[in-house]
Formats: sequence, C-alpha cells, structure tokens
Amino acid sequence: MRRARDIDRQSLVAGLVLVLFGVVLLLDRSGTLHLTFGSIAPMAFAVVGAILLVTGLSRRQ
Amino acid sequence: MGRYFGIDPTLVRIGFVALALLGGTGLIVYAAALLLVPLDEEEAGDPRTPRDRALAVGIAVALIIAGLVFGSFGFVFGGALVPLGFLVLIGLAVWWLVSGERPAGSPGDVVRRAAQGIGLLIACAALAVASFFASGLGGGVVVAGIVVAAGAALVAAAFVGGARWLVLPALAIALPLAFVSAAGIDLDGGFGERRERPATVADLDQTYRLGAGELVVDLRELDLPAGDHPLRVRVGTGHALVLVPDDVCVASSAEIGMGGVQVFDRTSGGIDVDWNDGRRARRGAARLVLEGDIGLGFLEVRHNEVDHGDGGSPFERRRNRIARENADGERNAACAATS
Repeated sequence: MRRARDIDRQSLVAGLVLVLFGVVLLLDRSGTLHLTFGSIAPMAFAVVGAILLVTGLSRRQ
Repeated sequence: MGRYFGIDPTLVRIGFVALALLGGTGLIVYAAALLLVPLDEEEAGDPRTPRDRALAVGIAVALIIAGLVFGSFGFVFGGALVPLGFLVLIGLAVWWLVSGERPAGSPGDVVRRAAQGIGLLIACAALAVASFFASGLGGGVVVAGIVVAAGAALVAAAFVGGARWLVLPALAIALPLAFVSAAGIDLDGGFGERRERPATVADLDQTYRLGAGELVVDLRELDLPAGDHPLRVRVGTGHALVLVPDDVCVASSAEIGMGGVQVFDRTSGGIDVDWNDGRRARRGAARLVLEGDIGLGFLEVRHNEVDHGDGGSPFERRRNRIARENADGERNAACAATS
C-alpha cells in the first residue's frame, strides 16, 4: 500500500481545488449557474491561496 | 545575509531600509536575497566557490551604486534597473514555485533558473490570452473542461511523484475563464469600430452587438412615433454609445460586469453593475426601452456626440467629458417627471 508521504501533497491539493473550480466554471458556462465578480473573486482567491498554502507547508516539511 | 557576508546583521538591515527610501532599490535587493541567499540550515555543504562569492558581492555593490544614482529620481524613474530587477525576481519566484527548490547556487545557475522562470511565465501569458479569447468566443465549456482535466491529471500525478509544473499553466487557463464568466464577456459580433445609423423605423434592429471595440447606434435621424421601441445593445468589451433625439424618452436597464453606465445626467460604475432607470414617456412622446449588456466597458446614452480627442489620459478625458456634459445640460427631458 502506498504510504502517505509518497503522495505529492501539492499536486494533490492543487488538482482537487482545480477540479472543483473547473466544475463551477463549467456549470456557469453551460448556463446552470450565473456567476458574478462578487461570487467568483473569493473563489479564485481561495483557489490560489490553497495552492500557495500547501506549497509553503510542503516546503516546511 | 549578515553571516553570509561576515557583517553585522543590523548594518545590513539599516542598509536595506536606506536603499528602500532612496528609490526602492533596497526592496528589490532584499527580495533577491530572500530568494537567493541560503537559509542557515542550508549552509552546510554550500557549493559556492570564492569566485562565486566575489561575483555576488560585486553584483550587490553595483546594484547599490546604481540604486543610489537612480534613487534620486525616485522609484518610478529608476531607469531600466527597477523593471529589469523585478523581471528577474519574478522569473526566480516562478521557478521556485514550480520546482519547489530554492533558486540559490552559482551565478550561472541563478541566471539559467531566472530565464526558465521567465520563459514559463511568457508561455503562461500566451495560454491566458488564448483562454480569454476562447472563453469569450463561446468556447467556455471546452476551456472549463480543460481546467477540470488538468486538475484530474494533477490528482493522478500526485500518486506517481507529482506534476507541480502543471499548476501554473492550469491557473493561467482557469483565471481568465473565471474573469470572462464573472464579467459576462461575449466576444461574438466582431471587433473594431461600428457605427449604425438607421434612417427609418423599419431599418431599426432590435439588437445591435459587437465583440470588442466601439459601437455607436445613432438614432437622431429617426422620427420615432409615440409608443415603446425596444432596443438591445450588447458589447463584450469596449464602449457602446446610443444617440437619441431630444424628443425621445429613454427607459434603460443594463448589466455591466466591470465598467460603468451613463444615461444623460445619471451615472453608475464599478463591478457587477445592475442598472435600472425605468421611465415613463410624456403623453404623445416616443419611449426607447434600452437594454444594455456590457461585459467590460461603458454604456452611454446621449443626445449629442462629444469630441473625445482632447488629449490627456483616458481617465482625464472621461472626467473632462463628464464635466462638459453636465455643463451641456444633457437630460432625459421627454420623460414624465418622476416623484
């Protein structure tokens, strides 16, 4: 079984948040959601922030 | 850094503060040191040769002298030094973010890593531009699918060593798509400057659209009969100007992602602008029911066209124009008085 430390945490977290962000954008472009700057800006900052956070934590370890 | 060069750290800090005040060079050198000078725990086994160290000291001294020379002109006028320094630092920061390794090493290694970082940044900028246009031209679903696929690839790669290099290109695709989605930018309808001047009511279309540029819908030649006349104006990014006769009342609503709207003497602006100026016409007057949809830009409704070419920055021109319009007394005068 693969050990947790063998997993590249930065790629994993970045991938997961990008999948979520992409799905939200996909729903908007297909007309299911109607996103505005008020809703997208916090989401975009959260995506970039999560990636930077996990990058910093990975380096520390 | 004090230990690295064998000087008192307090002197180093005072030097950086002085250089920061003398034109901002200290900020660049400090950021460069943060990236390049190894941490205390990294000092064991430092591969630097005395020649590298002498070269680093030489570069630092040259930067300090250049900072003092250009510093007297202030941060903004620091010649090519400040932008060049920022470019190199951005390149190193990108390399650091992607590789996960501190970009320290011999001067040759640092230059190579900075160049790789800048190269990646340029590639990401090209991707971002492509993503913006593809999303604006109706390919948003495909672009969003690429973002999801890139995320899934990153998750899969995490179990076989990772693919950190993919993070930045994926963000370069996702963020412009997010901007296009938030602003509601639709680039369908062409680019450039377009002027529509219907001569009769029969020539008046219900919808005028432009992808990017300036769209002018000039209705001043029209003799609109009493009653409602719907008109929809859509511009992805740019400026829409609707010119109406003095005897026509304008009821307007508009959605603007980022920018502003000005209907005669009323204005609004910012992000996510939801404009609604419902008006009733005076008895026997025509009413234009205008619906605007602007992604990024301005919507204007006026009776008279003004000259835009009066010099200065775009902001100064707009401010002067608004001041002149107020002086001109542009009013929605054909509407019934509001209580």
